[in-house]
Amino acid sequence: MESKYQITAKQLAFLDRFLKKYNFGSEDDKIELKDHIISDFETNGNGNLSQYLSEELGFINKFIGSKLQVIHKTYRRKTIDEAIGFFTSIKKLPITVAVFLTIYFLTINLNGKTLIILFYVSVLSFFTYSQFFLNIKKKDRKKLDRIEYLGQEMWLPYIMLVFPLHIATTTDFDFINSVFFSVYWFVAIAYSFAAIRVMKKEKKIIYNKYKHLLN
Amino acid sequence: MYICVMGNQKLFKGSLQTIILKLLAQNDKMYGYEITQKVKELTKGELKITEGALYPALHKLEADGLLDVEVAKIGNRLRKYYKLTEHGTKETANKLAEMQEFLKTMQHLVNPKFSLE
Repeated sequence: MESKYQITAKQLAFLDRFLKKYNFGSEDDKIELKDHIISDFETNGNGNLSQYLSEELGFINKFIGSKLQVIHKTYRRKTIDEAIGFFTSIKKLPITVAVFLTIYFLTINLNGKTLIILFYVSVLSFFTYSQFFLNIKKKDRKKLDRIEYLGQEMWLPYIMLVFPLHIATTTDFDFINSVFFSVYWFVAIAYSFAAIRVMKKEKKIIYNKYKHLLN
Repeated sequence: MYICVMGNQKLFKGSLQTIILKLLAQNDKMYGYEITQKVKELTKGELKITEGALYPALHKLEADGLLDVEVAKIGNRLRKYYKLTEHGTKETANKLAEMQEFLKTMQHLVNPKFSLE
């Protein structure tokens, strides 16, 4: 590729400040974005970096936005696939059935208050584990979006915590269908477990793939 | 804009991932800007992949495990290169076969007398 202009050290420092000031994504994003901007500026720019950046602002914003969207969608798809695997894998199916039957057994035999406490303890345990015990360093989250958004799929079980709280405070638990509550509890646990499995797998891949950035 | 073409851009929609995979299969490793320039060069300016379309496609392919990344220091900056994974190499073959099949079908439809077969 032929460059018609060579970026100066002063312009390079300006670009660094620009990307830092507007907080455009993680360090990983900045590497790619910076290289693209410099390559295009050196090939097609007119020497005025400030003007070039104003013209490219739309692309820069879209670059970060679309990347985050891809990350979210990928984690969601992988978590759903993992959860579906609990029903389609011959190895996992007996465990899935056993877990559901245990939940159902508890639902029909325990009183409402104990059940709600058990529900909270089980779902919150998964949530706490996913957020605090996966040993992801805080500084690594800033370096890579893929790490920062690794635990995002725990949003569903977290939201599911609200409904039983509502029942406990406003309704008599006996009115709630035990099959419905069993399925509800089971979905919260299965999705949490699937999300944690995806987090662990992805963490291993990311730390291997991006060791240049994280070490 | 998805891909900017001199002809009808709708005809090229959906083929971006295949184009990227094919280029990476031929070039071992490439960086984003290089891909846009290579496409421009190969098609003599007929097809221009905009950066707004290229990077989301690259990030998706990477998230799907088809591409691997490598960072190298080039002059005064770092550069992120993309290359095919083992899974990506297989998927490239599949996508190219699909594309060939599609082109053959279109040829049958558009110009039955001069089909590719």
